[in-house]
Amino acid sequence: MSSLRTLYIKDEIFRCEDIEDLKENIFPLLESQRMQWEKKINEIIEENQYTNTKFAELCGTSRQTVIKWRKGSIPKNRETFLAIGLAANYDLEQMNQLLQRYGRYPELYSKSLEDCVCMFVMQKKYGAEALTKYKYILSEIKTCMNLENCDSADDISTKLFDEKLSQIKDEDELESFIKEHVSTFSYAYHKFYAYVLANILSNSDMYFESLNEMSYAQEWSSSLKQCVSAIRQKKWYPTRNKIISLGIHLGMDGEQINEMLELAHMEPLCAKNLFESVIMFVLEDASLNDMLERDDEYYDVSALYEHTREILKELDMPELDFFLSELEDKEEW
Amino acid sequence: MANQLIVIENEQISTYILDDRNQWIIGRYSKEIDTQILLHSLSVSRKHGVFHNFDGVWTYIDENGKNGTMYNQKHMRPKPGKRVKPILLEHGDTFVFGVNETAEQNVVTPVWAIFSKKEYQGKWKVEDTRNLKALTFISETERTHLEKPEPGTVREHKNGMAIYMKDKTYMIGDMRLEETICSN
Repeated sequence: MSSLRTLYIKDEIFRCEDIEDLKENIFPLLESQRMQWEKKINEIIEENQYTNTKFAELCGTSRQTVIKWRKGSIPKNRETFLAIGLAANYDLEQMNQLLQRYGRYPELYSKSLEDCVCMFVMQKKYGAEALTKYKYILSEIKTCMNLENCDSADDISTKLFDEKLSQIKDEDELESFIKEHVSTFSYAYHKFYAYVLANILSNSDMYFESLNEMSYAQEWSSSLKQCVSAIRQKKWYPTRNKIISLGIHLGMDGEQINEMLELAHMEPLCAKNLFESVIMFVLEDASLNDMLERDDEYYDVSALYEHTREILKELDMPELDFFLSELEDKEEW
Repeated sequence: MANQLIVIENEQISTYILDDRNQWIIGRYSKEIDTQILLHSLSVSRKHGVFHNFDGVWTYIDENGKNGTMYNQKHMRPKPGKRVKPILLEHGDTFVFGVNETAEQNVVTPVWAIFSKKEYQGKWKVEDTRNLKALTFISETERTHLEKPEPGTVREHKNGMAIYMKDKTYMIGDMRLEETICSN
């Protein structure tokens, strides 16, 4: 039933003629996600008998943010959901449900370094220390290991990898495990990186000496430069909103953005998520208006994100503010 | 493991070890372009496409010339307009270069190619398979029977590969043709 409803909403988005249509016909259908979340977060806090201040401390955020969550404001990134799950002492199943159902994010993926450490911390049940422990172990491991210079990935299935991870007894063993499988972590997002770089290359009219040179020539925003630079160094940890932002920056269509999400082990754009429904509308609108068309003489890679920026500004909704900040104003360059 | 491109043109088979370089331009001879995978068919563009290596992940970027490309039996239609979409290559992906989608019949023979991550021992053996309606490939451990195969059909066994191209069939490693049934 849920997937049928998603399909229904998706169809309705593509039927919208303009933003007013979107506001009138789609947004009311999406209210339930906000309500579901409001119910869930209040349930977590009440069941654990936390005060707002205590819960904020456990999640590494401010009391005001927790109050906003309790009124239905949905956290803006996957990392925050991980922090909430750790604060709630969730097990793997509960954490995955929290990520997927309430955050619309992918479930934990053991071959990603961050998720691997998170899964270990959850197994060990560190209680109130969970988030601090997670951040500490992760930073310790990141400082002492080099994810670069790996020739190829281990040929190990995710199922077996999960099993091995579940047998780890302590932090030292975790560190050895991670060092042993450093190439797996290094290659977790390799295909994603290759896809992004290939898209940049394929849609430029000539091959530049370096991507840096191209970014200057095409006047990329500083956030895009940072992101692509990290991708080149194989150091960028894909987050859903950043991937979507990257796709918009690079003038990709919905199919390509979904391909990027898939390569980052995530679900495709979801019509039931308010902000993603807007993005789907923007992409459909841009496609119908030939905005994504490439001209041999001059390809304006910035056309799509300028259009997206305009629509988000016009909607003027607090839920969309965070994404707006991802899209720099060209005048600020 | 070696990333390779196996190309069949005018019944000649060639193997390019892609890992030897980071970028391979495929196309017809041109004074201006340094083409690494040189084709002769007139239906292929001078710069038809580029194979690119990004830290071990191979991609193909079609140049969207007037001469088309088929990727895994589908025409690579740039959508919308002339937008270019790169392909992340997987073992067994096939290409036909210089195939015109709109022409009722392609006058010039296109070029067939396959991307492979596996390396097989030995040299390619070529068998004449014209007028055959069925083929059986055998190796030490496996047996594959094909009824009326389409040209470009690929079969892989543990240590060998066969490519059926109607008049000729190309085999490498532990792979041979067992029996043949001639058509009328």
